[in-house]
Amino acid sequence: MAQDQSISEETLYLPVRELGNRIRTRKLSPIPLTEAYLTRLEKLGPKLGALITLMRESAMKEARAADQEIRAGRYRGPLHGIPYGVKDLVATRGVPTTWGAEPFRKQVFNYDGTVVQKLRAAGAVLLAKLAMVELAGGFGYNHADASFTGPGRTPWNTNFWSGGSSTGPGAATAAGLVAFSIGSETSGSIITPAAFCGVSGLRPTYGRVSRHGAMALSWTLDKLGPMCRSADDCGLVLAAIAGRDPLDASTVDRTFTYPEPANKKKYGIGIIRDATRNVQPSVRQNFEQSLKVLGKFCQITEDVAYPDLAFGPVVSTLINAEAASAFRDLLDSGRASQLRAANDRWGGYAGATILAVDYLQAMRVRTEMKKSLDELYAKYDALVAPSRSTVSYPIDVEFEKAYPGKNGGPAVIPAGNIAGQPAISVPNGFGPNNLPTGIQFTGKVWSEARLLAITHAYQQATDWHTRRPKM
Amino acid sequence: MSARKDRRAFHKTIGLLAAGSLAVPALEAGAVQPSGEGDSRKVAAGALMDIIRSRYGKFLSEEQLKRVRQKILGNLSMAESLRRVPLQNSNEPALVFRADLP
Repeated sequence: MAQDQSISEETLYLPVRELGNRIRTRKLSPIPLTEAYLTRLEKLGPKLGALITLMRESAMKEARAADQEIRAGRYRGPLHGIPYGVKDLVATRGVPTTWGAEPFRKQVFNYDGTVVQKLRAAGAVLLAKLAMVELAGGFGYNHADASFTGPGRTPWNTNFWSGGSSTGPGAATAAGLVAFSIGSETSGSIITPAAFCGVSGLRPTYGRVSRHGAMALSWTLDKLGPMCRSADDCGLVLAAIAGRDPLDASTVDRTFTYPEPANKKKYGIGIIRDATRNVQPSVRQNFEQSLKVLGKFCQITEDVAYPDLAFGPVVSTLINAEAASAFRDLLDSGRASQLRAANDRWGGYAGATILAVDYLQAMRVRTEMKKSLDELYAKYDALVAPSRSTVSYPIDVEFEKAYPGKNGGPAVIPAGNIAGQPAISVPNGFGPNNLPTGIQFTGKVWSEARLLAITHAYQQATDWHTRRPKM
Repeated sequence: MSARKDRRAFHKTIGLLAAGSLAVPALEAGAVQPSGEGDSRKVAAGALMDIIRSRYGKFLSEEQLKRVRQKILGNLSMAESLRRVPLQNSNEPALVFRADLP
């Protein structure tokens, strides 16, 4: 504990790249750094509803091993000795993997998910399993209190939700409880908590990151991705976890390397038409302010028409049907009644009656939607829109009652997930109740490097990502 | 039909359906359905509810069953809207079976 006292809160909020530099040059040891994050996680994690399992013993063992290797001159790279947390839907050997749900609270796997294996190979130190909406929200929850750990709270104002379904990764990253985290998205579960917690969250292209060992909600939509305090950090983490995995047939053999991007190119950005329709005034103001910043280094095309297609029905049909199959044992056993949110106790059953031909119809329409989006995105480096139409929702209010009528413009999140496109949300200001807002950049498939370069340049010109909540 | 013409037809039809899909929440809230299509949907929902009651009825209260029925009506509405999208026999679903499974 004596070493812990030498680590300041400011250090815990440093970017991964800077922490890595200090560890590489031995100005900072992974041992006290890990101890300090563990102490902070233990103290603040439960208050934020962000923590499920603290892995103190194994984390300290990994930190000591990293320290020893680096001292011996065997530095593995920018994540070596960096402490992180993972959403509790990724399997970890010998430690509960609860999927945020009471019926799976004692579930233990005897293997590590590929993402955990890859991060271990990169030398990162796993601190904890982080909270999540039960079953990643697949059964239709409409309230923040939808996990056996209770509601996730944004550290900017703990009366408000941290967003879902990656509640713990969002809150823990924003509160400096981890250096970075791993979240997952089926349709919005990285982008939403990134926006509500004021962090940078990257949804990779479908197939970029292996999901082996991760809970399946929808095999054709699920993605794992980094949640960090900066876009640059997202790049470093993605480089460590990307790549083909024979254990996940969706993954492809495409190299992703991430040097820190140089701000040289003038990027072509399109502003989605009606992107600020039915959004809160502060969301609109912050978005417009962001566009002014982007205008300094981007070629902006205004009023880009977004396909007005039935993205919602397609994504709902796919998730409802695939979730009913993925959780068929749970539904058949009646144990869905143990779920926390009232809607989740019955919400999975209707999916069990979706006809195969209707599911396949949605998948056939999906192919055509993807072609349309691919054609549109071929013209731009990125399209931009507010990440969410409002700031976060109050903890004790049903979602649809929080901000009536503020349901936003085009359905960019479901559309991007249907097409398997990457997206990143970065903070761009604050709205009511000291709550953060975000701007999302979406791009064509496999364009993560470009999205990261643009958002890194944006963050070089702004300081929203460096703001810290008062804890 | 050329791929480009196909795409235009697809946009025209599914664009109209996208606007129609806004009705889904109202459906789920139990709004009155227009006759014809709505009646057919109610019949289908009734049949699917028989499956729900048979397989899962012992786990669900009457209130929960009522909500399941509302959600089934919503699913049927979405399915109907997607069924109206013009697709050719050659339009494959976004699924690929791989012979070389891991």
